[in-house]
Amino acid sequence: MRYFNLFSNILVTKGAGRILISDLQRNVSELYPLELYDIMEEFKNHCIENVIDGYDEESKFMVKEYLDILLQNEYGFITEDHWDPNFPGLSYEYDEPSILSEIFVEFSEISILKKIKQSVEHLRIKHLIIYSKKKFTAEDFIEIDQIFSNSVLCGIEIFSPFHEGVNKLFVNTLHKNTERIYNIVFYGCRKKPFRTRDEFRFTLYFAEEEVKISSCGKVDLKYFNTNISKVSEAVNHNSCLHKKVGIDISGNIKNCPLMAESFGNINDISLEDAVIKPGFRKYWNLTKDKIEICKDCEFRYVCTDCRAYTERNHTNNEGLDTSKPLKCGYDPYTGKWETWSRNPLKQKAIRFYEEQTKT
Amino acid sequence: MILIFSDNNDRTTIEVIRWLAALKKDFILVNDDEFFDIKVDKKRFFMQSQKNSFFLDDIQSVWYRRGGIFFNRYQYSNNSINIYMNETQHWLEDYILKTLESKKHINKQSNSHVNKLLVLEYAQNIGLNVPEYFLAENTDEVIPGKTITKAITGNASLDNISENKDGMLYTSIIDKKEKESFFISFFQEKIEKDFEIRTFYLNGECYSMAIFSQNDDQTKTDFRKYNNEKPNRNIRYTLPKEIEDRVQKLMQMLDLNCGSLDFIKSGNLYYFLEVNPVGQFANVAYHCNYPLFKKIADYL
Amino acid sequence: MKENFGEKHKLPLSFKQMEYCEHTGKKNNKKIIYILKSEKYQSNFYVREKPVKPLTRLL
Repeated sequence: MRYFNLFSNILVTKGAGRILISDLQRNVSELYPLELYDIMEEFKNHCIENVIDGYDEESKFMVKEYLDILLQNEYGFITEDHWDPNFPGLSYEYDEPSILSEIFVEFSEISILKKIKQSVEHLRIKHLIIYSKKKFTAEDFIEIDQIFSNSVLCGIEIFSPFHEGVNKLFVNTLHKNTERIYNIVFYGCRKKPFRTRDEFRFTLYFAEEEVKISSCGKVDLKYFNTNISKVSEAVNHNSCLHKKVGIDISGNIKNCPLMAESFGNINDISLEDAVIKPGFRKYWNLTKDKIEICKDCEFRYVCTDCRAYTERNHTNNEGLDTSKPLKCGYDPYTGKWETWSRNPLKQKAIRFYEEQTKT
Repeated sequence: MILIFSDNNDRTTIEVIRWLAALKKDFILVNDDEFFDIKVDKKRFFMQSQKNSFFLDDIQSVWYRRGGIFFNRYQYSNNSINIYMNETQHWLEDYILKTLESKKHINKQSNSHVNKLLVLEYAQNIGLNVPEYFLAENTDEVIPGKTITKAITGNASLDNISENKDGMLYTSIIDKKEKESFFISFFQEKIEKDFEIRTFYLNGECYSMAIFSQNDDQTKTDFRKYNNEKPNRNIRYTLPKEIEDRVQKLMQMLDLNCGSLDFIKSGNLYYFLEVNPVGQFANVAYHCNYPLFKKIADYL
Repeated sequence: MKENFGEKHKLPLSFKQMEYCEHTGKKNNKKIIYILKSEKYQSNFYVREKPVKPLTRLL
């Protein structure tokens, strides 16, 4: 009698129409039909021979094929006589020592960054993302990086408009004079000034679109990724807002700059004060399992949620918005991706947010 | 105050430090390139290096991750005075070292490296299975194809053995008998393994990881159809209680409260291979999602 | 390699099966890392890291 043992770092997420098998060691996720879920459940409770015998002649072949796939992908291994009892399940505990993991700043002026420097140290924030409508000179980039030299930040990412001054020499100056910046995006760039190869100490993108800060919140396959840290966070917490803080262009401290609720202004209170305000953390534990439609989606632990832009059609008992993200065009009940902006059911919410941007 | 001895490149140290910061525990990080002067101030011992300083009695716990405390020793021109002062300084340093080791600690400077031969003996004495081994100057007792040889040193690499090349002395199988004799070498029975196990031990607790590699002879599994470029599978594992109890006895016998132990699982048997007091365990923590960094920070 | 590495005394048997690699330094450099200083963590070897998930989804 042979028994199939699933490796504990293989996560199977059941969606309405199909399943996602996530390999948390090799950081890859693959889609499979729902029937594989049932077969894998049977392998947990019966020996391989009995599982195969339980199917009719035509289906026996299919079960053997699936077993082959599971073995070829190294999702598990086979033992004789019984399952190996020494392989416990994986724990999905997520524990992060910093009080806040990241801060997203809608840049208004450099003094704001100087103001938050001490708070960043106290809260032990790891990443800083800056979105700027203002064009940055090379000196601006360098000054931003230097504000945080010797700090606890382990990375800075900057989105700023492309301008004529941005050429290879410009970027080289940044390459030689910055250390924490790991990614730069110049948006609104109609023609790339030079071909980018992997030559700088940061990744560099020239995006054609005029990226607005309100462009954020997209749910797309290109933003999905699989790794144990991200997945364990998503299983336990909100995959976007957990341990995040934002400062909008007026200095208002929010969960994210695109959300409506403010917890004070950076000119009046510190980040530490804002974080302990009642309600600041209310979305932190809202997982995808509690969000409408997402809870039936096979991608729910590898995607990233958005509470700033939702379909605005569900609220839970605590007054939290539990609607599906507005900018997600995937329907787990049909298994199809569509252009979200054209969905007639989303138009009301889209107009709501457009009005909100104007005020 | 927590004292941490590490070397500059160790990322594991930073992960623990992040937890110390979260737990609001003060610490001093000493690198292996620091040298300390021993001083006395108002009847209290005071250590000072280029970068750090502390009062000996302020220290509550010590983590010997790597490196250790190294002292500046004055040399004197008169030979007789030098001999005397060398001994004087030796006793002061010895006092500092022993006092630090008597405080709450994870690992000690004095036993951060172990004698592999003694470890195997102790392991056998407390009832752990050990692959049969022997030392020899010739291959008379070697069974070709079934015996391996490996280093008894901690490090098996020889940097710059020749121009621009490093040498690596990996564990290797002996294929044929040798006519000539050689320097005393360590030989061990080759075990057909199902998988390897790496266990991180901390103060009586074992955190294990099973490692399935491409080279395993899997008599009970048949997943040899895989792509040879896939890396090893690293999976959370629990050693049977009898083995964990013996691990604890072994570590106590070696006066170690922290270390990484390597095993081979073959059929129903667990073969103990070696213990490394200051080995890498970040991969065990990461792949198995064990909160090891937090545990260390909690303990210190 | 020279006979017995040019040594007068015998060496252990492992030396016969020594493998060589380019002296590129201790670790194999498949990934470049960038080192920062962090005062709070008292480290000169604080590693710059990209986040494990996309922190914004602007593009």
